[in-house]
Amino acid sequence: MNTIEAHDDHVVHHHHEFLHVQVRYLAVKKPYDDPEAKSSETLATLKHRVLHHFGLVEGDVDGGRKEYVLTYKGEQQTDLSLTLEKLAEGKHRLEMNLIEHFIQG
Amino acid sequence: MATDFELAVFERQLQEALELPEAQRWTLERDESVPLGLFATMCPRSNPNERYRARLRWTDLYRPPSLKFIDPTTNSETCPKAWPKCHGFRPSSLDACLPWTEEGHKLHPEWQNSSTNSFPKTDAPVQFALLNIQSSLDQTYEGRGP
Repeated sequence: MNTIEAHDDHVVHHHHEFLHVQVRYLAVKKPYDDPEAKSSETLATLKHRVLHHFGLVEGDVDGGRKEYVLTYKGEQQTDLSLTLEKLAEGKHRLEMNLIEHFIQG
Repeated sequence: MATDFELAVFERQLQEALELPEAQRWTLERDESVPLGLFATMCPRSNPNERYRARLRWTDLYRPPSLKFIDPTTNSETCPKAWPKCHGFRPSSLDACLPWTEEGHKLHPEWQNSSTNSFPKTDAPVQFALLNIQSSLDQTYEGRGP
């Protein structure tokens, strides 16, 4: 990832291969924490890792379907092909939430 | 009656909730009239000027809390306009029919044994309730109650 810092007399470009990612599942105090997530990783693979970490499974239950959604700054992230780098928009750290949805069948 | 353990956990969790990134948008106060209660003033991301005062009360910290929205001027708990219109919130009935609330479980006793709607095992009940409210406000807000 490229970030730009403006200093008094010059501009410094940084390239970050990794991002610090934290994903908070509402019911659990300690968030999922990856200080070295690849900036090229997609939200789809991140979500897979996070669900595994919290022992959560999506699928059909009780006449409906349980799904989990990543949110960033309060907004649901529906485009899971998005990379962490793109979502972070120059920041080195991403803090997200994992929200549970039940879709009635 | 809350145990000393619950009271200690509640105090600690209240402090931990204040360290959440979302807490920058909240005003949290203890509800001194009950052992395990708080007021949280929150707003939807889409409309930061619309402030809502939620009251959360637990009889057991590890069971669903009661949720009411309180009129910040009169402290009335029977004012539909004090409620945001969000998924599961019912301003006209002054309750929230959601699986994480006490009111929801009173309306749906069958949720207790449901794999989808039973109250989850949580090590952060205060955080869980507050973030659920904020999530509703951010994602399903449709305006103020009638």
